[in-house]
Amino acid sequence: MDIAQLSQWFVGLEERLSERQNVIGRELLKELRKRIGFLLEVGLEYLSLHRSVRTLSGGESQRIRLATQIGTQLVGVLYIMDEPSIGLHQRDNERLIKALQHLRDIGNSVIVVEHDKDMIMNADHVLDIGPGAGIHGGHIVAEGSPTEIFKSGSLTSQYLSGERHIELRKKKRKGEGNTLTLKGATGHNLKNVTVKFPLGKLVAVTGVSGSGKSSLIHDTLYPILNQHFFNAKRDPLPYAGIEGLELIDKVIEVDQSPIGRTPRSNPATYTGVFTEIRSLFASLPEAKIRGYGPGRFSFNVKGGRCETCEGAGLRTIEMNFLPDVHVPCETCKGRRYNRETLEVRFKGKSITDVLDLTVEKAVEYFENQPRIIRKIQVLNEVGLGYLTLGQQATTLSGGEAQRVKLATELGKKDTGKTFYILDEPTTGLHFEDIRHLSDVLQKLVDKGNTVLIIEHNLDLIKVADHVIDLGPEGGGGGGTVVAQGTPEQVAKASKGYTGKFLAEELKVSKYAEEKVS
Amino acid sequence: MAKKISASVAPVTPEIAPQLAATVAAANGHAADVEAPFIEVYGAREHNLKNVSVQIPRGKLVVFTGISGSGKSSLAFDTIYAEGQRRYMETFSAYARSFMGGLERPDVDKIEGLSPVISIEQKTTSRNPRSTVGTITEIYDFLRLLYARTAEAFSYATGAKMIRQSDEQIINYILKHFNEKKLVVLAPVVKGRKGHYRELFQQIAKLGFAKVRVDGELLDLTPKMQVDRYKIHDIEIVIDRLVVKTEDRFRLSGSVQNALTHGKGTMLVLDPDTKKTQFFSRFLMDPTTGIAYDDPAPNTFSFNSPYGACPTCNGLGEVQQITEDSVLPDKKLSISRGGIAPWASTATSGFSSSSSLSSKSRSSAFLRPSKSCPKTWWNACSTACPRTKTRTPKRQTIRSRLKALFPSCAARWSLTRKTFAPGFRSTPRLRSAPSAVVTA
Repeated sequence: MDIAQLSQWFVGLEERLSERQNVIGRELLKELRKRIGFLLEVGLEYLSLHRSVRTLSGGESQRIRLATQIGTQLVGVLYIMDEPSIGLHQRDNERLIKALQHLRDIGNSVIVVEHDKDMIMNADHVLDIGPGAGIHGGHIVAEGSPTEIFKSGSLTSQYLSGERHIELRKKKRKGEGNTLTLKGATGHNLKNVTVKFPLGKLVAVTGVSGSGKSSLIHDTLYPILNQHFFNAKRDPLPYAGIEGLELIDKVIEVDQSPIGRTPRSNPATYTGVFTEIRSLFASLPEAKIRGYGPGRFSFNVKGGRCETCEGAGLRTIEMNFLPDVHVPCETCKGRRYNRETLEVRFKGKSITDVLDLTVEKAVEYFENQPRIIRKIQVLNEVGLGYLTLGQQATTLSGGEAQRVKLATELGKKDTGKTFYILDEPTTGLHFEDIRHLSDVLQKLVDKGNTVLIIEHNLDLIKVADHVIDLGPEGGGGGGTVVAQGTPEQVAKASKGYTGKFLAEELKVSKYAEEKVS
Repeated sequence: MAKKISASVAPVTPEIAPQLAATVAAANGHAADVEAPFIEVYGAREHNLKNVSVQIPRGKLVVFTGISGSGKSSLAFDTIYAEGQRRYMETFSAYARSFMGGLERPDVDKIEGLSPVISIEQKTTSRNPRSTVGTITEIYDFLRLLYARTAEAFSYATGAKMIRQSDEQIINYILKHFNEKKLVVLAPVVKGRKGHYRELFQQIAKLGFAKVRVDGELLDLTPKMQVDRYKIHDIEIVIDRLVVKTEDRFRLSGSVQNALTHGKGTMLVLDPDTKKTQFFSRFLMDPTTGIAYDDPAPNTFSFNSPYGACPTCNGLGEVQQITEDSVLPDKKLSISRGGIAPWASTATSGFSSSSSLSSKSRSSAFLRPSKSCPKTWWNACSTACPRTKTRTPKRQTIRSRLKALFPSCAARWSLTRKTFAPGFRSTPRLRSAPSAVVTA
C-alpha cells in the first residue's frame, strides 16, 4: 500500500489493539506516526515502503532525506540543499516550500541552490551569482530580499519580472502526421494506457510526481525501442503493442549523468574532436619528421605523455592524517606531455595550449579545419563557449554535461529520423540556460527528428508542439492520460493539474510579449 | 470594587520574541545567546569564484540562483559546506578522521558564523538493491519491531490463530479442565510418517518407558517391537498415567515437563475414557495441523535477513534464470556462427575449445540454423545429462558437451557471477517471508 493508505491504517489503530498490545506498542506507534507524517509533509504519499531506492528519481530520494532531517528536529544546523524541487510538479512546490520553512522555523539556517521561480520568490534572502558562466561568472550580481532582487536588473530578475522570457513559438509545427503508437501499457500504475506520440515534433510528457511518466517512457517506451534497434537486454514493462517503429531509425536517451568519471575525460575527448585534433597534429611536418602518430598526442597512451604523472598533470601526495595534496607534476609542470611532444606546434600552440583554449577561442583558432570546426561550433551554439577543451569531466555540472551530449548529437550527421528522449533536461538550468536548451532542441526537431521530454518546467512545456499529461494524481490515483494536445489545448483541459498551471504561464507569457512588442 | 491587577508586561508573541531574547541577552551580557546574525564569507576563490565576499543571514531561507556554471554550487557546496564539514571533522580525533578521508581546505580567506552543516544532495545514496523507502526512513525497522512484539500469528494453512503456552499455562489448564479425572500424558515422537521404527521403540525402552501409543492404541513396549513399514503412523510415548489432583501438582508438573522434553516442545493428554486428546505446545502452534513457528523476532520480518527472506530469491524479489531465449538469442544463427550465446564470445575460456571443436566437427547439425534443429535434440541438451562415455577422448563429440549446456551455464554463472553476451533474463517474484499473514 502507498504511504497515504498506510497512514490511514494507523489512524485509530489503538482501538483495534488489545490492552497489552497498546502498552508495548505505544512508543513504536508514536515513532511510526511521526515518520510517516514527515513523508506526507514533503509530498511523497504516493510512494510505497517496498519501493526499491534505485527506482526513485533524484528529487524523490532527496525529499526522503529531507523528511528524515525534519524528523531529527535538530536546531542550530546549517542545511545546504541542491535543487530540492527536481521532479516536483508545480502543484507540490508549495508543500516543499512549507517544509523548508518549517526547518527554518525550528531554528536552523537553510541554504538552497535553486532555479524555480516560486522558491526564489518565497525565500527570505536571495543571492544571484553570475553574470555569465565559467570564467565569466563567479561574482555576486545581486543580493537581498526577493523584492530587492526583482528591481536589481540582473539576468535572473529580468526573467522574474517578465522582461525576458522564453518566447512562444509563433508558428506551431504541423508535422507530417506520422505517429508512434504505444498500446495498452500496464506496468506499475499505468491503467492500460494507449498513447500516440507524434513524430517530427517536440513532445512534452507531464504529470505530478508518481503519475507514471517514468514508468511509461523509461520503463516501457525506451526499452521497447532499445530492444528493437539495439538488441538491448532490458525488458519493457507489459504492453499490448506498438506501431510506427519503421518510421524511426534509432532512439537516443540524453541524460545529465557525467560525460566521464575520471579527470582524463573532457569535452574534447567526449565529442571526439580530440581525435581529430590529434590527427591534425600528427599531420604537421614537424610531427612527420619525428615519426609521431596521433597516439603520441594522447595523454592516455605511453609515448607522448609525461610518464611521471602518466598524463594526469597532477601528483597526489598522501598525507597520512591530513587530506591528500595534489601538486602539479614537477616534470611536466602540469602540462601532461613531455617536452618533445610539446615542441610540435600548430599556429604557435602546443597540444597542451590547445587543450587550454576555451571553445570560443578554439572556434577562431581552427577556422580552417572543417572537421574540427564542425564539432566545436555546436559546443559554442549550445552556450558552452566558456568551457575549455581540456576541462576535466568531473568539474562539469549536470546541465553542462547534458549539453555536451546534445552538442555531440547535433554534430553528428544525422538521419533525421531519430527519437530523442530527455528526462527533465531543465534540472540545474537557469532561465537563460533553458532558453539555450530550447533553441538546441528546436534545432534537432527542425532536422526532422522527434524529441520527447519529461518535464515539470512550464517554460519548456509551453514551447512544446504537443503535450501529454498523465495523472491525475500520483501512485494508484494516476496512470492515465488526462489531457493531450497542443499546449493551448491542454491549458483548457478540465482534468489534471498541469493544465491550470500551463494556462497561467501562457497568460503571463502572452502578456509579457505584448508588453515588449 | 475589585480592581483587576493585570500584568503590565505585554504578552510575548512570536514577533517580539527574538527581540526580547536579544534585549535580555544583551542585558545579561551573554553575547553567545544572541546568535551571530550572519555567516560571513571573505575571499572565496573556489573554481570560478572571483574573490567573493558575502554575508548570508542566519536562521533564514536563503536561495542561491544563477545560470548553470555561474558558481552557485561552488559557493554553496565547495566552499561553505566543505568548510563547515572540515571544521566539524576537526573535532574528531585524528584516528577517527583517518577513516573518514579529510576534506580539502576550500580556497577561501575566512568564514565566520558557521554552524555544523548537513547537506542534502540529489545524488542517489545507494544503489543497493536491498534498500527500499522503508529501510532508509527506518519506518521498516519500527514496523518490524511492532509486528514482532505485538502481532498475533495465524496459520498459513488453515488461517486459524496460533497458540502458544508456557509450562505453567499448560499445567493450569490441565488442572482446570481435567480435575479429578484420569489422564494419560503423552509425548509425540512420530507424526504421520512411514517406517517400521524398530530402533525407535528400542530407544524408548532404554529410556525406561513401558508403554507407547501407536495410531491411537495404547500398547506395551515389547522387545523387537515394530510397526508396518509401508503405512503412515503416529507414535507417542506414554509418559505417565495419573489422576489430576490440585494437591498433586508436583507430579503433574514433572510429567508435563518430561513430556515436553521428549516431544520437543509438544505434548498430548489423553482422556482414557472418552479417548479424546488435547494438544499443547510451547511454540506458536496451529492446533489442527501442527505447524509451528519460531518465536517472532524483528529479524523474522526483514527481507534482508536470512530469517525472513524468501529462500528462492533471498529477499531481492527477482530471480535470474537461464531461458532458451537467452542462450539462443538469434535462432537464425547456426552454432558454428555463434548461435549459442555463452559460447559466442571467445573471451569465455573453457567454452572456446568447444567452439573450435565445433568447427572441426563434421556433424552437420552445427552448420544448420539453430531453429531448424529438432526440438527434441534441444530438449535433450537442456536437461541435465551426464556426459556420455566414449571410447577415446578424441571421439568425444560436442554432442555430449551440449547435453549439459544449460546446467553448465547455470553452474558457471553461479561460480563467476559473470553474465555472458546477451545475458540472462530475470523474472519478478513476489517478495514475501515464508511465515503466514501476521496481523496486529
